[in-house]
Amino acid sequence: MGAEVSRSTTVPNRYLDSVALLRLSAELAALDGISAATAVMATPANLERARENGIEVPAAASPNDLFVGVRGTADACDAALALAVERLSGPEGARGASSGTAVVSPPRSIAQHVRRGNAADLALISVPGAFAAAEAGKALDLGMHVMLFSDNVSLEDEVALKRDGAERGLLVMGPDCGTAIVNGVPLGFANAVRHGPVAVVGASGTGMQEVTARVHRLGSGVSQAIGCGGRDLSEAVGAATMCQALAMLADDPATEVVVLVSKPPHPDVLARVVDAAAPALARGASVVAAFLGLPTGAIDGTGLVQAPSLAAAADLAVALAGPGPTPSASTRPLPHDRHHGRPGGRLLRGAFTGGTFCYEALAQLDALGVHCASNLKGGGSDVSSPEHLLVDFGDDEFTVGRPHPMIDPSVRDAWVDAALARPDTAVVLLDVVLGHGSNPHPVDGLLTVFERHRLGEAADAPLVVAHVCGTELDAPSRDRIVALLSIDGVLVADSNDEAAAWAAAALLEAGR
Amino acid sequence: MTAAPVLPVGARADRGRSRGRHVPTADADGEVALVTTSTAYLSLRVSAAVRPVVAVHDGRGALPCGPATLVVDALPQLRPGDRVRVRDGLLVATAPGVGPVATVDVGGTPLWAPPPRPPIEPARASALATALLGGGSAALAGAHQRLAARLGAVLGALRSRDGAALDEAVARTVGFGPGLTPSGDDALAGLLLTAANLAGAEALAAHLAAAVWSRLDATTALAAQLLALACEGEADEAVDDVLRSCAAGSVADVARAAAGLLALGATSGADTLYGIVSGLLLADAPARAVA
Repeated sequence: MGAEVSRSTTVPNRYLDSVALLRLSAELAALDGISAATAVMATPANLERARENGIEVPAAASPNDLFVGVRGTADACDAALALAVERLSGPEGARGASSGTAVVSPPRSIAQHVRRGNAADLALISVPGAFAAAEAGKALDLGMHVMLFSDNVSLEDEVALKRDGAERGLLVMGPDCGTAIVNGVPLGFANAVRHGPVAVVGASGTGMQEVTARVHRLGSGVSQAIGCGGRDLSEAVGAATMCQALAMLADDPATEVVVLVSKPPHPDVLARVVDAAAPALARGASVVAAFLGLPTGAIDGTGLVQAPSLAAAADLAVALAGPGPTPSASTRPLPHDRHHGRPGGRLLRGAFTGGTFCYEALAQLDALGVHCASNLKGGGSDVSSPEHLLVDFGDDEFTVGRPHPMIDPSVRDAWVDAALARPDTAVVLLDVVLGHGSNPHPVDGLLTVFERHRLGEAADAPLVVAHVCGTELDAPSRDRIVALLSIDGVLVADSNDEAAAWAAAALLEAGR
Repeated sequence: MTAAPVLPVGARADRGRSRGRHVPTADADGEVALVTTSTAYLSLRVSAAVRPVVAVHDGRGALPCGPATLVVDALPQLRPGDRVRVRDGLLVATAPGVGPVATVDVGGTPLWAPPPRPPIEPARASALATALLGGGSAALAGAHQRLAARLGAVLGALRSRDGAALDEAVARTVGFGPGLTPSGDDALAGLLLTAANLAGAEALAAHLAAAVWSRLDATTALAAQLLALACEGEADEAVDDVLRSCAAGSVADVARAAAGLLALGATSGADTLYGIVSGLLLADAPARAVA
């Protein structure tokens, strides 16, 4: 072994976190021919210590500089410093260092992605709302369709973006568009479904999930699912995206039925949607409208088929798309082998992660004579409410500063825990939404709650009715989640509509 | 002439979960200095004399809150070199060639303001030191190996009330050791905070603070800030938890808080805890002036 030498280098104003510094020191010290190595901030104390260890130090360095020094054979020192330079130019964020090693970092902009030669024609934009409209505009300029996951985009920006997109023949899905399935690719929150003849166009993410998942479970499949954003059917936006999607689907030979999902549109907007459906109808396709809460008969004579619920829309779509299995009736009677809620209890308490499920359940229960308060109607969310109460946990009140309950259902689960503990709770109604984007362990918290309340064993436990939105292809599969809930004593309905009907039946049959 | 707004008119920024009082809400500029998996460090300039390093932390793991920490729900996609501006309560980070990549409504973010810490009774100090040492033997053994000689010199100078020796020992400890906040600084911060909270050791803490203050230019900007805040009694939440539990908690509380602190960084948690234990050992130091 030759005589020992020392080599060192400093990198001005270069920060690495402590773990990276320690790892680099250890890596250099382990090299053959190296007897001492250090990678530390160039403070006087550290430089003094390095000097004491026989490592050369720079005459001038700032405490904010990074210092790397080694002692050993000349070849080993040169190799160690070269390795250090390589490590410092790695993907942890080098500035100025160059090792000749190509590091391909993720694109920082849509334009950069396109410049790299990628041929994507759809941009999914999920950035803070303040910047979302600008990013969407850039994507349109680059000839890309847009799925705008972000919310907090102004109405004016939404109108302008959709007008701009329509002029270029490009779709603007959103803002606040959480669900889409484009050419078989799930975007945002979406379920795993087979390809088929039913297209879904909707202003409601969970509403679209319910329809697409049920279409799949009935043996059919989905050609496209196009989200419009919650405000698309408002008077100001005028169903711009829904109308554009209808025009596109009219030219899609793979689509035989189009299902429209929304709350009731403004009357002028409804007329516009009916007009936009004409080309598809003229081609021989069917159009089913699930405008939840729209009075029965409101679209008679338009050529559109009105569906009273999300489940009914899926059933009608599959029947119209035929040939295939004949769908069952949307709602089955409450199983008679089950008790009808906690003795002495009188109230229904519903806890939803999907806003549209809450909205649909409210309407269904109301139609069946069970009138509920809800935060969707300004009625609060206090579990001790003296009224029947349905709570949408996706509302701003619960999601500002927190993930959506489909991602983190813990707040909802705690509320269910509190509801079950109350002696006046007769029935608890809830939803579980599976699929791409959702929590991979969606009922772990609920099962713990149910076990604590001995739901499957105690005769005086409230009746819990659940609806699981998903398919057997989701991970976890719907079958698995249904089995887990059933084992713990939960009555699992086949649709949100059916779950609400069962809850109403349990209350009404017990005379509450 | 009116300056251009930071955000488009009508746009809304996301609020953070908490901010320390040293996180500026107006008139600061700087850049992203370092990004780890859970924290982005922003090097800011408010004035020639006020240059805070703000930790933007995602709230997971140790150190959720601190006097110069901004806790957010999800760490924005920042990279070293991104420019940062704070105006009118809004913090905006801009990537070169890309445009704005993150915005936080710091003005609307709740202020983290822990109440004053109660004093630690000297009679409990010995038992507390034993409890703390029992909780993290491997990590504390590493800290002992790194720091025993230098921190021992600091303690010796404090005990003997030797001002010159104290200055020399502090000079050898500030900026010493691995890490972005070098080990010596973490330990000194723990020692300073504990001494200031230990009934009867306040005068020693003041002398130590004076010695440390004069050496702040001998360490990294982030560590200098840590030490300056410690001189004023301010600490991040993980350290604050340990000190509070020492003052008023059970042994189990102390062990739980210590475990939380040990989870901090590669060496920082253990080094800080080593400083805290050292500070508790000052409980039996005679009360007389430093020469």
